[in-house]
Amino acid sequence: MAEKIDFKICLVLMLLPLIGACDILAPNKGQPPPEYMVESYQKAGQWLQPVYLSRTASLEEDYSFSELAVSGAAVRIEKIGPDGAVQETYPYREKASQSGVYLPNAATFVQPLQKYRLVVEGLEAGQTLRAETVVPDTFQLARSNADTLTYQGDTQLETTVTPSSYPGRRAIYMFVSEALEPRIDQMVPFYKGFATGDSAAIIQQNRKKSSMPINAAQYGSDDDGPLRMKGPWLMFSFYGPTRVSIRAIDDNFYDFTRSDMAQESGTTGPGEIPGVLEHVEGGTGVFSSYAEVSTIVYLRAPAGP
Amino acid sequence: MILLPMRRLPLLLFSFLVTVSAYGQPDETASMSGMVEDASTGETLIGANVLLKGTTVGTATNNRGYFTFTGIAPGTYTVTCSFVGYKTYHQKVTLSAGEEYRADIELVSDEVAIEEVVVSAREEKARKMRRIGSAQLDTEVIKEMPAMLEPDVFRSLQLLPGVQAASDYSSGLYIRGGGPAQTLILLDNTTVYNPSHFFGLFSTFNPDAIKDVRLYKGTAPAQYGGRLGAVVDIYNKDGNRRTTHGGVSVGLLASRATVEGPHPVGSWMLAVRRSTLEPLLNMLHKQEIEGIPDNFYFYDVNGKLNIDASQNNRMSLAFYAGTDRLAFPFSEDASAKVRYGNRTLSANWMHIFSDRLFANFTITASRYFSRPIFSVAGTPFQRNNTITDYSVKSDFELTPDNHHNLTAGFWAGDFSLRFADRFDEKVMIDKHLPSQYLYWYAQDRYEPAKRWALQGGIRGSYFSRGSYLRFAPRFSVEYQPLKNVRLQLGYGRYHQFLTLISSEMFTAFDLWLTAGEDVPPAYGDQLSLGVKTNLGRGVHLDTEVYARTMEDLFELDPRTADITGRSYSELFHYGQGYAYGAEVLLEKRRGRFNGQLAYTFGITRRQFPDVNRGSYYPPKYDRTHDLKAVLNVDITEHWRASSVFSLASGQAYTRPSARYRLSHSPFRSVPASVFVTSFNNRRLPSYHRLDVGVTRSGRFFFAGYQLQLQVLNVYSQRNIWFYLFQLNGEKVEKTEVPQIPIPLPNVSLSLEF
Repeated sequence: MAEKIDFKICLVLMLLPLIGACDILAPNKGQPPPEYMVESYQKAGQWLQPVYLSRTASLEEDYSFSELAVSGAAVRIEKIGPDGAVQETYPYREKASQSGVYLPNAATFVQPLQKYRLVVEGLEAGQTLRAETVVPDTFQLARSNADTLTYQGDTQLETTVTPSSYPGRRAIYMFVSEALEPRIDQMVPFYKGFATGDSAAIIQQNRKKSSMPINAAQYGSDDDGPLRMKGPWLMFSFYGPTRVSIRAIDDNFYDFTRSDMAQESGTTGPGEIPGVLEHVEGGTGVFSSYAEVSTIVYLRAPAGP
Repeated sequence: MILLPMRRLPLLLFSFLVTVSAYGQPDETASMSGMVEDASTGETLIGANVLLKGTTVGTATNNRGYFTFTGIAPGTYTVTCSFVGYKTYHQKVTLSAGEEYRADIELVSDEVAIEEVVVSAREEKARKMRRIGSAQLDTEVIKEMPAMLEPDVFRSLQLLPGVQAASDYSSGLYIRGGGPAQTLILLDNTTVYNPSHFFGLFSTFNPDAIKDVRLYKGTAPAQYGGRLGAVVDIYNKDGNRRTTHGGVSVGLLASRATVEGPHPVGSWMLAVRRSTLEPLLNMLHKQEIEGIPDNFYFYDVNGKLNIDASQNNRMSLAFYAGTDRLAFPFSEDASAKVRYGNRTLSANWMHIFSDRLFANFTITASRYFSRPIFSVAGTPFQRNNTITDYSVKSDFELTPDNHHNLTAGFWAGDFSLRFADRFDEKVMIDKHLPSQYLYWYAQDRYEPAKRWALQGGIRGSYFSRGSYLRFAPRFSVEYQPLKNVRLQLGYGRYHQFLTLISSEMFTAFDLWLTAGEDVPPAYGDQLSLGVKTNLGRGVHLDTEVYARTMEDLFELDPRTADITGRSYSELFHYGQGYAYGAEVLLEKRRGRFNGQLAYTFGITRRQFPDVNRGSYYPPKYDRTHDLKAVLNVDITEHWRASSVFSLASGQAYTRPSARYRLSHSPFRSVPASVFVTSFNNRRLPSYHRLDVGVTRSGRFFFAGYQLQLQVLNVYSQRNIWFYLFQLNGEKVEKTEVPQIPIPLPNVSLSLEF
């Protein structure tokens, strides 16, 4: 009898863990309030560029910049010295004809290897957005091996550039190609295979292509020597004249691009979407800078069979 | 500092052998040892129970089918031996003082089952084999379960509590909160690095070739290591030692052939399996259906040669070779060529030094390769991930008396890993990562009294890449308060020097990497508590609770875009995790209606500083509740029906909370849509599915046959695999990607001659 009672106690003990086994699911949180989003790309050696200010959208609503634009904010860019102090301030004003678009009050050149801070104030509840970028050093295009190429022919585009530099790391580059006279009948087969919809949309979608970030070590140089960069065929979407740019990017755009690629390509498991790496305090978006060189090549279609 | 314990290793082994010699001296007690084999095939039986009736002396055969008792008082005893599906063996023996009695036992298969005998055998097996965290799988059960196109070892393991499937399309093992990377897979003592065919749809192990599958879900004993989580230990058949015997099986996806037989001093076995999809692919090509591969096939070959040199010496040579190949032009001017597979070779020598000392020596070679080649718009991308692993291992088992069972051994190897990526004919990364490793262990199972069993051990590991030396204690205790109740506790520390980057979608690109300079090995502690009961009439109820930690996890950072020139440690991101849960298994083995009910409550979380701002998150395969019910009905002598029902909480997925658009990027001509989201912040709907199957068996002229008709997802449940969030114009569309959405039939015919 005692053994039977003990046995029942054992059974109860065994089932005890299940009592606490309620379903632990992530709570169905409501939609978070929209965040402020900034977008701005500064180019070394060029005038200060616009700042775009808007709010994020929920998944359910259509995206419209004009509806989500944030108007009436106080926007400025600060030039930061090596000691962290503000050296100069460049105030922005909102474009009269387009809310959410802020332009610099005065034309000022963006200096390479200089740190800039974007500050946005005058938002609801006293919120402030801050983001910083260090501008990559300018560099030069030394030579390009061809001004005319046959698509997927023996000769690939090869450019030689003086190296850019960036504090604390190797310079990181991206190829960007832009078809200058894109026509639907001049699309290369690979991109044509995915093309659906009307011609204008297809052209707009494919006119400009960029590569993944590539650091200087890819080109076999760790020192200050010139870099020979080979442009992959994959970056060309149309036959005809194409501007090929090589851009050295800052940390912000590098982090954004590599994490956005992971988000788009689904490199994690099915259904898992990694967030993008951002550097905007108090909000979201991209405040970045780059340096650029470019050349123009003419891409010929290969001879038919 | 590191070398000091290594220098001590020979001393330790010497001490062990001195101890062995001392115990080898004759005394006033007797001993009994032997092999347990199938009478009709000569196949050694792993885990068979041998006991002296009316005494407390009992044991189970080891991985080579060997058992030993020592310290038996002289007298007359009845030896009883039982094993699932065999008639229980009884034999009277008289032992005199100092006698070393050799009792090789042959068990007779009980095809026309006298139910009670078979059931008692099953119960005996369960009693001995159900050590904490472990399970053993009958290969016949694997073949009987409703299967997706092919009977599969791993999918059968997924029916056990604590073992979960990632999806209908994945045979990967997700055990106690760990992914496939954390499970060590051994085939005939040799590591298999990518045990998948058909890109993960099912495992590489041919059920015709397998003799025994053993799973340690956690707190594995000291002879196992190298992974943070579980161990799957698989043994191929030796081959029939009596008669030449064969079988063929034709299925919808693949066909199998097996032949085995004796030779003058042993046996041999050869099992071949190959996919048979080519006619279907040709037909689809003729109909000009798009998206059909140019070429796809897989095959595997298992072979074993046994030499029974003497009663105390047995040698074997076993090999496995498996490959998957795919050539797929997935778009205009874009194609993929994928080739991956495994090769293993092992030479084994089992030597019985004396009735007290058993030894096993193995030389192994294992090779894994994955070499996908993509060509997109004239731009090639190639990856090469290759592992070559040569090793020697040895295990000693000493039974000085009936209270102690000492085991010790080592495993030393030369491990070479290559990871190379080429993009547009340029080398992006080419890492050759050679390493040497040495694992060693010593363990004692001590049974001080009838109801108590204590097992303690230590495992040492040295991994030369990074010069890591690690020690891991293992401990378990078992107490039997009642005849039909056993309480168990297990603890262990585990280290892992490798990491696997794998996707449940496509295992062909499985990428292994190692620890190294500035990349320390991962480690974790496991604690399990179990209560095992025998409710009588063939019904068992087992419960286990477990808790695990995972520290220094290193995974290839999915956001690393430009790997060239980076230091090895920069390729990874580093994190930690934990898991805990409870498992219940209710098993009924007796009668025409039999089966099991397996329930798991489990929680697992990970933390990486760059994910969710360093908060803990659930990996996709985290399921809170998981219930699996298996029911078998022997309708008549020739007809048997099986069904499997699964019900589980939804897995984690990411639902973006918001989005924004970068409309002014100078890097692209169309705006970039970006999701603002925390990682894996939602749950899919609950999962449920019913599979059924019937088997008709009988004889057709000279051959026995088995015809199987099976239907998966009988009631067309559209379980969600994942949600895809895609931009369509200005809107975000949420698309449901289903698991098997319709009833999926399967027919197979097997012949045995």
